[in-house]
Amino acid sequence: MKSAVLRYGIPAVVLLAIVVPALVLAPRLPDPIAVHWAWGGVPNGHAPWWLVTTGAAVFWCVAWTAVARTASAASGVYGLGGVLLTAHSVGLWANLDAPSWERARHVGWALALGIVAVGLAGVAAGWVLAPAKPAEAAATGPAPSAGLGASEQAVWSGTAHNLALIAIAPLVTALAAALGSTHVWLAGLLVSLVALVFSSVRVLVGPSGVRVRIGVLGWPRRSLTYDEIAEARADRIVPLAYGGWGWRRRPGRSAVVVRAGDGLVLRLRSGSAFVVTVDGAQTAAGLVNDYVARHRSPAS
Amino acid sequence: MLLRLDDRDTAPLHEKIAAGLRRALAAGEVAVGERLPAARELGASLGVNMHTVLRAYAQLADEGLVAMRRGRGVTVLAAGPERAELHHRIRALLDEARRLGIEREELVAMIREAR
Repeated sequence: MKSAVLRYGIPAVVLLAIVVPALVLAPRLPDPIAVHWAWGGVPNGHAPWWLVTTGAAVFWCVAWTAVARTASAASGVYGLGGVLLTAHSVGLWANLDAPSWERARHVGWALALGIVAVGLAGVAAGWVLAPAKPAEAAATGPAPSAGLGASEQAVWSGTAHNLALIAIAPLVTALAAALGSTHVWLAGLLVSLVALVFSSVRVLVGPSGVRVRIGVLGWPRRSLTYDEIAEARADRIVPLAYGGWGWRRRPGRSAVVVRAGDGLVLRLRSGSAFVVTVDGAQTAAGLVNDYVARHRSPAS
Repeated sequence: MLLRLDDRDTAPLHEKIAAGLRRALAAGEVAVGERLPAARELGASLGVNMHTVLRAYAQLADEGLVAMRRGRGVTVLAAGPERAELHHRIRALLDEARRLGIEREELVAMIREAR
């Protein structure tokens, strides 16, 4: 019951709080409305109000659906809801009864910080209402198996790629080069290198353990033996639930996140977890479990 | 890609690895153009020498299933999956002939005469 309220109630309330005030106040808004403010707080961008409201509503629905579809729900989406709702409300307030968008109320630093604060409060509320359930905590049902025979050895090999990250690297470098200064240049180069490194990952599950090799060079890397692993599962990985892309380390779990989607979730005997995004993780998880079982009973 | 090796199979290790790779290719477990794991990595994972894996890869390359290029690794060729199936069947045929006591040359002659 509580989960149904969270699942449908919260997105509905945020959605209504975005759409209803806009519909009610629409006659009192200029057309177009101011949507962007310069550093000094003076409006410098405009758009039709219905586009702004529809955009915010659609963005919210997409973000919520993307997170709600998985067990790895992130409190970040609550924060996003807070930011969308407050920013949209501030936008309405600033434009209310203004004769034209250029004469909308000024939106200064205080209000911008307020929006961020509401976002953070949303994240905090998310932690309390629906603690970010990492995939490893949501496991139900029997652990998968690949049906490894007693007189059989098997190696599973899989990869995950992120073409967007590969594309981002030259773009960032080019942008940094265009901007000029040496520091920006170096920062841009560093960012694009990191993006390149984390654009792919290879996972090998074999008799000796699980090997994870990141990037084209196969470095950084991580190897796990079957002594360390308690159980493996496959799950849909949402980068937001792990704090983004790359090698995310948090107390109790670390995750190699190259893209959203299929991932191998290893619950370790130390109580922590290791997660890596990889295509076809279901078979990988099955083979890991078969080897873990074989390892526990070496007699067979 | 799931590569399975039967412990009871007494064939040389590189043959067993090649056969396992052929099965995986034929089953469509590796997409065309996809890269096979580096020989060093696969060897380390299986606990065998990297040259044993390289030998298996070279055999698949000879059969026209994969392309081996320096610096580019081993990638699956477009004809790979279907040819892998054919090579898999040829080996099954050889095994069957051996079981029936038919000599290799005799089998080749049978294939030549077959319509």
